[in-house]
Amino acid sequence: MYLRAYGIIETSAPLHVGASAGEETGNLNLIFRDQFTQTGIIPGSSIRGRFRADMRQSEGESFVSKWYGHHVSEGADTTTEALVKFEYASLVWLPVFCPGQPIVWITCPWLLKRYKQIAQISEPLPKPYTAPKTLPGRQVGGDRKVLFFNLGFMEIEHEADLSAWIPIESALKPDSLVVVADNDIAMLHDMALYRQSRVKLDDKVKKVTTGAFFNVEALPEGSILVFPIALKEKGWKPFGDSPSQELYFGGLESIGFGRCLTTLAGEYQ
Amino acid sequence: MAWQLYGLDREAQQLVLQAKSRQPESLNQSYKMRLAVAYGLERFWGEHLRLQRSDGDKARYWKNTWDSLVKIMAQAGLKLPNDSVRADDTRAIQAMSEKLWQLDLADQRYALAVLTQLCDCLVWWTQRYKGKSTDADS
Repeated sequence: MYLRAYGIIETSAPLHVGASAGEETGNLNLIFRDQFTQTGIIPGSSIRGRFRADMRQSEGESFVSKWYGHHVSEGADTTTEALVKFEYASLVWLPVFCPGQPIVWITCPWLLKRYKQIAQISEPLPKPYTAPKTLPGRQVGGDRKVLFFNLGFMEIEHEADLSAWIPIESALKPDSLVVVADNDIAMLHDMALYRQSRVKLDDKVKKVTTGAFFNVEALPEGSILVFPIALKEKGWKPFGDSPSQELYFGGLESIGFGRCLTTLAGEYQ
Repeated sequence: MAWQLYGLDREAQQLVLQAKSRQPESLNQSYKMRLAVAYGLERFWGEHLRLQRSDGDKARYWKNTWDSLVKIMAQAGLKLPNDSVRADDTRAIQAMSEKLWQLDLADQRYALAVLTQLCDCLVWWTQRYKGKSTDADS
């Protein structure tokens, strides 16, 4: 039996995990996505890589081998199993621009279901198009409430307190949360992503290097993700005695991407 | 009802094709529309009056875009004013402007966000259909 723990990642800067270029050669999937909801994920290997690298720096190689497994070395024909295992991180809440709000955090039942399992929440899953009573919106025809977005609008159909779905240590405001349907999340996610066209300038002249025009896609600042951790034994202290620490995930770190606040919970230390 | 699209791309494509068939040169107004959004609804609406005197086709493109916006926002239950006004009718201009200024601030923001997106779509389609038409009618 594994010990169950989990981590919450709150992005403090845009987060890019995937391929930053290559759309000219046919790559249109710039960030890693979950195949069902089409929303951004961080693969378990990336999370593991970050934890492992940080531990190597602070604790040294032998500690790393103990927790993350011994790699194959010359002469030896065996590796050791890791004591700590990571699964991919999926979105729990995604901030999206909403005129007049100006930001609401959205999720869908599918994403909440995974979060519910990981964080062991007893609350029943909210229905699609649920928002708290306190969410500001445009009142239309009596008691109907409408939220406007860039590409469409949405009618809130159910009212419920969603504060049970706000993860630990996150500063989410309970009155700016909206649950949408599983069918809508992919499109709203596309609308919410941080997207930019970028160029590389020539080394000597201030003009674009030929062919160096590319797009980049990232989860926006303020996104909240969750990932499960399984441990074979207690005592894993990646952040010392603190439950949370700033960690960098993904690429484009040197140009300001990837800073995240990571918080651990469950049976890990 | 839940989530509903405005269908902005479709609206924009129609607007661009109509403008192109009237007068291909008027298509460049798309970029100006996108820029004008930043100055607010009143200025955007008023621009077709300025063009009425000098260039009817360009004026029509601006007005048709406004008409589309009014139609789109109406689907979502937001009623934007849309009086038919001539450039020389000062009183009518004043009446329409009053209505625009009286819009709730939140409603203005909703309308401007959608108008911004609509103009982005116009620029997209303009970029695709610009240039000399090879149709028989040109």
